Amino acid sequence: MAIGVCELLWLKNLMKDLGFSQRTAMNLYCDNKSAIEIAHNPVQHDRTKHVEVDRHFIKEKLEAGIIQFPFVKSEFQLADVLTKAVSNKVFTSCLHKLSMNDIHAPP
Amino acid sequence: MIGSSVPTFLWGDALSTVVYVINRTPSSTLFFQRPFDVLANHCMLPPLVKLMPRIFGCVTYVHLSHRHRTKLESRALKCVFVGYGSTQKGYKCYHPDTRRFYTSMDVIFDESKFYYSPTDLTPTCLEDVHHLANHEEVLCFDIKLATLPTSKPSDEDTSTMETPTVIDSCSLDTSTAIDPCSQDSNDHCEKSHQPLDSTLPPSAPVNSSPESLPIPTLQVQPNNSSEICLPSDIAHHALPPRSTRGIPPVKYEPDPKAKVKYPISNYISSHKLSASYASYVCKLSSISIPSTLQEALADSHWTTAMTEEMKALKKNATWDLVTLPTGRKTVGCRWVFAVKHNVDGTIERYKARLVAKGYTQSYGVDYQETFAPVAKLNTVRVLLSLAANKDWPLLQFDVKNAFLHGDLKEDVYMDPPPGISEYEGSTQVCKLRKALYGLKQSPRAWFGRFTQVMKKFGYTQSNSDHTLFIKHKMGKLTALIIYVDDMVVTGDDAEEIHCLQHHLASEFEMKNLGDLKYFLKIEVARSKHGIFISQRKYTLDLLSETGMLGCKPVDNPMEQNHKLFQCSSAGCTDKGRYQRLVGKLIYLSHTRPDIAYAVSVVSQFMHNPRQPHMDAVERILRYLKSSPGKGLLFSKHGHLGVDGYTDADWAGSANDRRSTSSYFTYVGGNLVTWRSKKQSVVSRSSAEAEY
Repeated sequence: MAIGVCELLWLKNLMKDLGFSQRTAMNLYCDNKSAIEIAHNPVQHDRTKHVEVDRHFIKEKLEAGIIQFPFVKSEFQLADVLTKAVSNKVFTSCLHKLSMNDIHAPP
Repeated sequence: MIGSSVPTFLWGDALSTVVYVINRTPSSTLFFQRPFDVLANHCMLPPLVKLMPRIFGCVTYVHLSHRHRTKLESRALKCVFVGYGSTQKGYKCYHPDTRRFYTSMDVIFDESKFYYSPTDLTPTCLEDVHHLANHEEVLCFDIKLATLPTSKPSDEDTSTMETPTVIDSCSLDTSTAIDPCSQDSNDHCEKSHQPLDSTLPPSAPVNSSPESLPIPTLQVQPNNSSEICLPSDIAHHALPPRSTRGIPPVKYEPDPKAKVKYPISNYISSHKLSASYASYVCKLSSISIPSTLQEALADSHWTTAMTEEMKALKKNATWDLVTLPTGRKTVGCRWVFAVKHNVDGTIERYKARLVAKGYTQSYGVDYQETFAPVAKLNTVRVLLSLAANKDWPLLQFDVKNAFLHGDLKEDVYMDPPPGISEYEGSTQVCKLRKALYGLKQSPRAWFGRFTQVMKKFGYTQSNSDHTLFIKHKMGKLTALIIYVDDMVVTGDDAEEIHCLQHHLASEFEMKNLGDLKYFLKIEVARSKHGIFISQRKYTLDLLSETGMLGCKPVDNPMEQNHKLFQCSSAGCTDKGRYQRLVGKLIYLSHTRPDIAYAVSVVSQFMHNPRQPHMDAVERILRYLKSSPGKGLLFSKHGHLGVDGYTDADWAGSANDRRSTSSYFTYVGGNLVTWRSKKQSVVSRSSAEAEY
């Protein structure tokens, strides 16, 4: 999540340089509810001490209204193809959503 | 059919049997060839199944396999013969008691008997027959009319089929009219396609068939097949003619193209591309570039290119010839060859360039600081997404001899260039005065100069990516991104772009390459649907280099539930080859997020690759084979919002139980960046892994 936030911040800066500032919060879709809840929780728990720095970083950006974490169901989670080897069906549907296609494909 | 008193619901089987026999019977309209042979001249047919023709409706005994019976039951079933198997080689038989069809070769025929004798016809059967008989006159011509325009069930030429079909159906019907229940007319299906019959007018069989044809009596039935002039090769087709018997089939001929089971042309084509882009793509693929000096010296194109480069270098006073001072080492050099294309795809020129082997330089002696103006491809994709959403033009500029603009501050000694006759045998070395391609410090010198020039024009350097230069002027934007000496310019200010080009041309030797088409081995295509980027040529080169062009493709780049881990027991593999391959795949994942995960997995074993890892790499290559031209499409979505998806698996690595985190980000509805990265720490829960 932290690296995703970093990337979004980089994109935000880049877009600002190009003259397209992001006025609304950027969505970072996540399929893990507990992770989302931890990000929203104002209390630092002992259990989350191992990810304390990342958690504070994410929380800071969340409270500043730069990002938000909408929940997305696992079957609509596109980033699945980047974390595990998925079945053919999931794979092709994801590629479609990534707008990957093949203009060189034979008829 | 009526003659054999078969119930009417088997009418369909009777018809297909008729068609089956017609197609295998010589016809006078086809000069006594069989319709099947005629058709075989026009297209590929499945091999003909040789079955002895039998009488429709006769008694058969179908052998039952031991799975379908106990040992005390009878070994065969008494059935009625209703035709020939359409999908299997065998005779199709019907067992009325169980209402089952059997298609089998293990069948014994008793052609002297019909299964349904006329006496045991049920009242319903008889009714059906009478019903048929009443309508015979109408039917006869109806069928004739109906069969003329439409072709028969099998897809033969209609011209070859019409005549026999019509006559056959007529004769069949008319004969039913004469003698609905007679045994004599039992075999009209087979008789009616005699060559004689087909010449007769449709009305002839009504009168002639009972007399002119030998009425098959019960005794002569077995010889019936020879009487109706069936070609002998149906019956005895065990061996081909003696003249061709010893010649092996065509498939063993040493034609490598015919041998490939999965030719690459099945997976790539240019039918969706515009004509000019297709020709450009084709040109890209057609020229090969020599990799060694010996190859290049054999071709006159390359030798002239080399002499041209030498002239330019001498004119520029790039070096002085000196004797090497003691205690100094020389830097090697070599030739690099390339083909330059025009915008329309024609070859502009063959280019040879002398490069120094910068990797032999040592830090602190030959060079101090280095930097290369390498654009992030993420930034390039963001610009592409902007251009697609805002319909901006994309232009490509090129600086000629970019590095030669910088002066060298350090003393660098270089070997004389190989392959040039005037330097051969000389003991002197070249002391460089100008920067040369390949030296460590030359990109930095060049980029420093370029940045100065751009700032003079009023451009600001972006903090997010130092190779991006932006100028805002009256609400309009011009952006330039530079990758060493290749530049991509976009923006909505056409005037400013023109101005910029003019300025740059006055400072450097510039070339305008027109619309962006080929940038860093990425092919860019543009249509009204959007911008499409792919690394088709790179993929094809990779496949041909590894000899995987003919491999069998797979649908996904990695096996599900793979268990790849660092094992030392499995067989060794070529480490250098593995590292080169994975390096190429990493570059390929710039336009292909689909292989990003697979590549990140295989690159974890770079230091000690084993056979299972090599197999995984080969699987990725096989996946690439299935769609070499796959790429990203940037289309217009009408907004420029930034979105992201993030996910992590938990303890996915079999070696150290670390997790993998990943994200996709979208700008303006188009995918621009993605990453799949193994985490540096072990996480204790899946929620922790998400962080």
